[in-house]
Amino acid sequence: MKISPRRMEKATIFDVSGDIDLANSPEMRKTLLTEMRDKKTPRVIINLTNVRYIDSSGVASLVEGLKVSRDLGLRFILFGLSPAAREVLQLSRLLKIFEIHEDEEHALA
Amino acid sequence: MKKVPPSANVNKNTNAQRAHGSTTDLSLKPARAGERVPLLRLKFFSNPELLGVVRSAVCALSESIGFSAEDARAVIRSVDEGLANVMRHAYSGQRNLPIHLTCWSVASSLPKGAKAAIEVEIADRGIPMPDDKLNAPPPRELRPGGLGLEWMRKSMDVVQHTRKGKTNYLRMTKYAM
Repeated sequence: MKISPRRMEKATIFDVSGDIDLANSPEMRKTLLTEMRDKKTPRVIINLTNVRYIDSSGVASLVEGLKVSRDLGLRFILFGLSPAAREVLQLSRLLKIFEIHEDEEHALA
Repeated sequence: MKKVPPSANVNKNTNAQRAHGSTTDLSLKPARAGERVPLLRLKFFSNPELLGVVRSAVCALSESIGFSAEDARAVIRSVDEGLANVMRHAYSGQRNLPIHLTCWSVASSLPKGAKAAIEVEIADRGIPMPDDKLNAPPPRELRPGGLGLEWMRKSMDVVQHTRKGKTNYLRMTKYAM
């Protein structure tokens, strides 16, 4: 798994790639939460286009990111969900909890 | 030494395979109702870095016995969550303890319409999962944690935790419809 932030004036996009599982979700969580708390960019966008697999610890990290964003008054947006990612959000009844867009253009609109 | 033409070798091997019935032995699907074909047995250590390796093997196996990509993802997800529970809870994060994973192709009790089934067993010798966690209802509020068991139950047709002696067993079955 790789995660790297792209910083813009009013948004930070985190490009994530590979498999998110128990081996690396703590790293994703730490990167997300540290950036959100330090920069407080109004819009935090997670690009999941190149994520093939996400486990429950990865989804838990996204939930934590969403909670922190609410505490800080930021928007937390996901885009580019693979079938695997969509299925686990569906199983967890989280599809309507997250703000989800098809692509980067819509996430930034 | 007399040279044997390559074509003669091929014929000889093919005849030998036929004589021993190896063509049918190689089938991954049970030939008859009631048959349970062992497919895969892995012994590995409780290191989360190995989860991707196991997922790849189980994905290829599920698809090779007739599971759709969606059904294969359900199997992979459940195996991954079961293993993650072992690594995180049963073995408390220790990375050098043994886990056994066994997969069978089963035909003994396929419900009407199912074209294949896979049975998976995960065995470890760690701390058993507490009853209150096993019997806990799905998490209702928005909070991290507690999702893995719910995913397994929703993704598989049978999920069963047992303990015999000092070994914990998680057995799961999935039918490919």
